[in-house]
Amino acid sequence: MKYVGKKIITMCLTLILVSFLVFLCFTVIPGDPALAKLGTEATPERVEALRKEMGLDRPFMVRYGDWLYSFVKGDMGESYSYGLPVKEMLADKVPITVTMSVMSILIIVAVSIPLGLYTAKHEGSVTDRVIYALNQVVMAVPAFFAGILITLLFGIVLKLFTPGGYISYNQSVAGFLGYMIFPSIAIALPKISMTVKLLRSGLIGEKKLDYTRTAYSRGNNTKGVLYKHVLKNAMLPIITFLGMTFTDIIAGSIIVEQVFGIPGMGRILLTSISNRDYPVVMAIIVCLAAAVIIINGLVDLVYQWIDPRIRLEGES
Amino acid sequence: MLEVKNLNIEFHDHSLPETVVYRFNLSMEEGDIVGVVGESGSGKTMSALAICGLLSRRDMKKEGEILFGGKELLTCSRHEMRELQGDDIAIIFQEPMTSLNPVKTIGWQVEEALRIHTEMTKEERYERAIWALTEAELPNPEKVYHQYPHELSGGMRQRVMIAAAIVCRPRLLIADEPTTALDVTIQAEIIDLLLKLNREHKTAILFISHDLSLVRKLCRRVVVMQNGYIVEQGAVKQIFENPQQEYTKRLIASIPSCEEGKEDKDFSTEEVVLSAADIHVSYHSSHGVFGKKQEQKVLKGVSFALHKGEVLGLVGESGCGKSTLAKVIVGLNQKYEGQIGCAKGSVQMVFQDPYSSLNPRKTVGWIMEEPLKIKGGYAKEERRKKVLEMLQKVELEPEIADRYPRQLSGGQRQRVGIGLALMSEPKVLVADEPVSALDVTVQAQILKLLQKLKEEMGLAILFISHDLRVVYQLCDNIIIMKDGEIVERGTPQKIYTAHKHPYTGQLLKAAGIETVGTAAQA
Repeated sequence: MKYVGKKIITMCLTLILVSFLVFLCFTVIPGDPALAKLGTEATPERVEALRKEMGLDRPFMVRYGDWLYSFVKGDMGESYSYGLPVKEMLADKVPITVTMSVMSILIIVAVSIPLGLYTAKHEGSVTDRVIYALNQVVMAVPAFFAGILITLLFGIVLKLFTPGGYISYNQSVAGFLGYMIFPSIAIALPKISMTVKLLRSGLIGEKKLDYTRTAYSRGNNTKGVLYKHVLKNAMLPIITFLGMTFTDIIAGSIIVEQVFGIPGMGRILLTSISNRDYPVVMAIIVCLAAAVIIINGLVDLVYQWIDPRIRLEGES
Repeated sequence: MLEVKNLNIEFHDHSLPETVVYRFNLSMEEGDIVGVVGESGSGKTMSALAICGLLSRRDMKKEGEILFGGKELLTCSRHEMRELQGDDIAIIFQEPMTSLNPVKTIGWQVEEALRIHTEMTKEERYERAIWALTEAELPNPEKVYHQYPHELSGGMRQRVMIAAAIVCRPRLLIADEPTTALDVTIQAEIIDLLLKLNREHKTAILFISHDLSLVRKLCRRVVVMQNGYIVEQGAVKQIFENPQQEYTKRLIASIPSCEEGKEDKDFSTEEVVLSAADIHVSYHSSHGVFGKKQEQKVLKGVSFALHKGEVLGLVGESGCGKSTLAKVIVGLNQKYEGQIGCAKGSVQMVFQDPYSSLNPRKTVGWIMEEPLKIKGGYAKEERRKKVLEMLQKVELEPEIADRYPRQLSGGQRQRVGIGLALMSEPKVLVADEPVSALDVTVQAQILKLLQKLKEEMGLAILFISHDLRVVYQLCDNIIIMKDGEIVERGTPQKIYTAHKHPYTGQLLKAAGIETVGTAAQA
């Protein structure tokens, strides 16, 4: 318990640090939200007046402190460009991005673990070599390009879904999930090949260790050794990798959302950045950072649950 | 029970097939204890692995017959073999640290053979596992059952391996160098445990070892192997007292003996070349940003003086701080309290594993020239000449200078290691377990070399070892360390005949030299 408490405090501190750095970035990089809002109607006087109205003339630390204070209270501020509360703007976007990320990670786990086990068990066989070659190709395909290929194959040729015909979860949950599966596959594909490769080499490395010989000496067959002994050990680096992949997916979903025409967090982030709509950008970045930090925390917990050696260090 | 006839094992992984075991013959009765001795590469482990069916690489060929309880093991199906493994035939390995699965509990691993070979219920298995852990003399078996391998010491892990091996009450237990990785006092305990299991359960034991004194203590019959051949086999008494073959004689002669009387030499008039006064070292560790700091004392006030021409033996078991002391002396550990007195650059070190301490990508000549390059002031030809001279001193051929470390044998590498340390003409050599990784016959040669170099060059040597027999042969004075403190010091004669600290007695007993006292008095 004490360990978890410490972990949470560290996480919160990290989040505050991230938000501070992002806030600082937007102060340093050129671009004025007041100017962006006024657009063609901007005159120096009007910009000055709007800056005052928006509170941009106050010192940096005051603005940051103010933002942090309201954020902690649950108030994310108002969008400069739309005048809507940021919270409302994000409320229906977050579930879309989260669904897509979770679906892709499930696909990754469901496909790569059996494939990794299979290739490790049949090391050097024809199937192993074919999968290896396929892996090399798929790994080099970025998610957005995979997205284009999938749109072409499943959308236009096989007509399994209508490209660009996003179905909101308010309309039909089944339709929404059915549409989301394709971008999820696009995101998952390159990650699957990396996971398979990592798991295969991990399993093969573990198979050479002394404890597998001990396992054989007790009368285990190859399957028993692989599933009961080797897999859990070989999963340790995979879990770290999956954690990193998950955060990568959340950040990378922005581009895939564009390819498939999905109104998720990615689209709103892009428009907000070009409009200098700082309250929205800040909220999204802090949410992303929170997701990354929470996932890393969970990975640590899972890691400890699997590896008793780490458990001991955490407790002492 | 076990009958091995004309076993040949061949590897086909290179262009030419390589035979590692030739015409291996062995027969064992129920309750027998047979030792197989030989140096590395003699084929002893290969034969043992073949018997328990763990040699099944595709690139190897096995011929002959292995009959176990009337069943032919070489030709039977994998399935039939698996039914015997862990049930009737069990094996324990050399490396207790890595032979257990790190992410499974001890209980799970001990019960594994039961899950595979019996229909026992969970409660029955638990009971049987506790029985096995108790048989293996693990303190507090109920607690150990729920622990993980990393929470146990090497000795305890080897006991767990034994418990897991005997849980199905095997008829044959194969022990492949089970004590080599353990401290001497623990070695003796494991041997006693094996003897007890044999006595109480009539378990036959096939004991594979390079350590002749252990084989003599445990076994009734011995098989001596060299280069894949059986050189000689017979009853222990016959082999040790009346060996017939040249190789067996050589092997027995290279066991360091403590029975010859040794004269005490007085070095107090000689110049002190290295002194240590009240050395303290502690390690600090902390976990995470908020972690509590922990202090662990490794050395607690160690003092000694080494004189010119003296060989000082430093004896202790793993974790006693002897390697930390060596690091402090040669300057690899700067975080210490106390004083080290020695002339700058006068101390050089020889390491235990000569292979991993030599750069594999450079030739021996390049490696040995390096200290001269760093020192500067030598022309290229001069450096080469000095290297060749040194090779001659450590009794190596001059061609060795152009070879790479991997092309050398273990003994040759250790000679290079010694030569390298001597290149900068030190006054003191700190040798950290320099012969522990070597075969007995090679060990004897290296010790002889050190003795010779000491006399020729007037070196002082701090010889760190866990092996009291080796230390007795080589050293003029001995200090014994336990838990970071020196518990006893004196000449070999004094330590071996009239030791004061009980721990010294324990070490001597474990090394099987308790009789020296009486022999010297007689």
